[in-house]
Amino acid sequence: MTSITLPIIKKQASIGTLVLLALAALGAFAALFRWVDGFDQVSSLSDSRPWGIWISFDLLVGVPISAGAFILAATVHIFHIEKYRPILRPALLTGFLGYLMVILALMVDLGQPQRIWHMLIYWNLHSPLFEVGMCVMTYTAVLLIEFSPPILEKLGWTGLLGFLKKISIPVVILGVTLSTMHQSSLGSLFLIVPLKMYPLWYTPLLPLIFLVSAISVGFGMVIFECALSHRFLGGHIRKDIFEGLSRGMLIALSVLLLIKLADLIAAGEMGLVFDGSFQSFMFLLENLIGIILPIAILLTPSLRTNTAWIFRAALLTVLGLILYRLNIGLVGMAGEPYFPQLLEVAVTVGVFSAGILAFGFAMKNLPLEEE
Amino acid sequence: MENEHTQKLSRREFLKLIGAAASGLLMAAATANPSFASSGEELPPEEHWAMLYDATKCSGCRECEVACKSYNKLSEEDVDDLSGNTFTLIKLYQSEDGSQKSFRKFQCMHCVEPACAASCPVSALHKIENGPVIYDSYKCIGCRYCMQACAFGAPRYDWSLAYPLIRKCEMCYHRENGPACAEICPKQALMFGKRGDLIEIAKARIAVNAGKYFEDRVYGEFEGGGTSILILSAVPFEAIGLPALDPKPLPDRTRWALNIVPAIFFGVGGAMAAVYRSSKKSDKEAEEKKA
Ligand code: SF4
Ligand code: SF4
Ligand code: SF4
Repeated sequence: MTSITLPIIKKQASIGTLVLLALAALGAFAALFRWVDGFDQVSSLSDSRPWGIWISFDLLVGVPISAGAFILAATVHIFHIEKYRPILRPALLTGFLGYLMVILALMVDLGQPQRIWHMLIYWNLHSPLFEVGMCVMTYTAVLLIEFSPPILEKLGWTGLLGFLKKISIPVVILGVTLSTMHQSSLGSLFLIVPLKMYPLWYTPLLPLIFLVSAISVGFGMVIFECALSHRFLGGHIRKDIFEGLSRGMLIALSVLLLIKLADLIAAGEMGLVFDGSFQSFMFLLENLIGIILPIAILLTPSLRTNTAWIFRAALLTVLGLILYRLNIGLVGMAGEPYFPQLLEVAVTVGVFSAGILAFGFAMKNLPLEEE
Repeated sequence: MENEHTQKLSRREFLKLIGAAASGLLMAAATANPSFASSGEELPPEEHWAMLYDATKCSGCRECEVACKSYNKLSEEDVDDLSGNTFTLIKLYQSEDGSQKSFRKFQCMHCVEPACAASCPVSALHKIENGPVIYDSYKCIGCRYCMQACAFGAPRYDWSLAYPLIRKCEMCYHRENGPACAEICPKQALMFGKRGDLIEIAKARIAVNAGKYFEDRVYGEFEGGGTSILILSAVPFEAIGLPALDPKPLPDRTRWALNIVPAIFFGVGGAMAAVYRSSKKSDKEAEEKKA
């Protein structure tokens, strides 16, 4: 049996790798096109739609789906809940790669990408984007430090390894702090557009909603990764880890639901939710898929201990967050109709494909299992 | 004044904590950056350069558009909106039955508290002390947050380029006789002067012509914290595309969130440190018990 199944698995894996490689190459081609020929060759961006999917997806989704790293780092290193240690390194790796992907996408989106470092010398403390930029840059460095032990172990650089172990706790604390700051100020970005954003989404609580939704999806992504790496790379899922993560997700989602409901009621916008407009439809969809359904699954006694259903709840949470961020960046924003061009989507898909490839490579080549 | 004070305080606090947390490099960069030095004498808004556009006097001759193009060396193009090559534009608005019509001059409004400048992460856009909101193109990273933040759609881009820069009216701030568009206007529909004086002129016109102007007020006196482009119109402001901004400046909506950043930094950081200590202690106790 084994001699038959093994080649098949290998073949499947290599087909998957080839597809990802092709997608990454297509993305690179589209990016090159934008850098050489101009924006309108590859994107539907315009003066009335200055932010398209590269911001609404790559940045607004890319940052929260990497939130698992800071949540698990805090859980293991600060709260000393040791049972999650086996999944810490993979989560740190996804986080680190996630932020690299965000920066990569920004290099395509920015009009002057070669000046991205200008934020280090020309400050503006009144700009939420400045805060986001500084935090993302610093936090990516923090993640590199947090994640470097397996690499250093592999290289045998014990001296540096020892030093990093000594400063690890302050680094983890800095990481948690920076994450709280930029996950929320990603929402603050939109506080300045009260007239442009549809009232269902515009609220002074945007930073809080962004933070809590990032935490819920951080748990969701870790569940998702655990399940996938179990499926494709073997190993066993520890049920207690899975259930613990799902409880974290349930708490975050419930808090999110309460905040959103209270905010709608306080603003007197309940009527808008059911007025049958396109916006109301998208709003309902976002909350049904991303909050209400996963909460319902995780509250149902027969489902909440079932790993397959926990996985589904996590998947829904991630989907819901994607919808929420796209609604914020595109659906809820006033402007001409926007539909991304094929090559514009190719950049986004390419960046994610490259990220998955890098993740697979690291999983195979780095000692990610910790005793 | 009070606002300014609290901002400066939070600046300093923020600097301190970033310096402590990140690195000396950032600290050095910040102190070397002139935009951190206090910006000298700031004139009060009533002393700012401003323009009064009276739509009832405008004949739609578009001389201002031509003068703007020629002074700013912009190429001709056939557009119906501001663009990377068009800093000002006269549009004609007509009610459906044609009984009411009005022109409107589009351009950057040179807000008293500009959302674009508050948003720009690298301070490329900023208000100079005599009023014009100008752009240091060499700083710009092209994030286009300014375009998103501006309620008047003033900052524009040339999307056919691979490395575009923001384009908008800078009130001809380096031109000797002030704005080229105001100088050329044959009907005096466009007047250049100090913001305080122009508001008074506008109010005098309203007083003399009771009922002529929409709601007997001038747009830009209070909207979004005030603008340096003031507009008089016979038709409702919204009918000529002027957004109904309340007097609260747009940057104020972000300010509180940024002001609590130091609190978040120390609060979350401190809480994490406290949790770490107590959980470590209880770990030790548990181990001792085992032993
Ligand atoms: S109108 Fe827009 S671009 Fe001009 S100063 Fe105001 S916010 Fe800035
Ligand atoms: S596009 Fe340029 S000017 Fe506009 S906010 Fe970004 S960096 Fe500032
Ligand atoms: S002030 Fe100068 S740049 Fe602005 S619209 Fe008038 S002529 Fe053009």
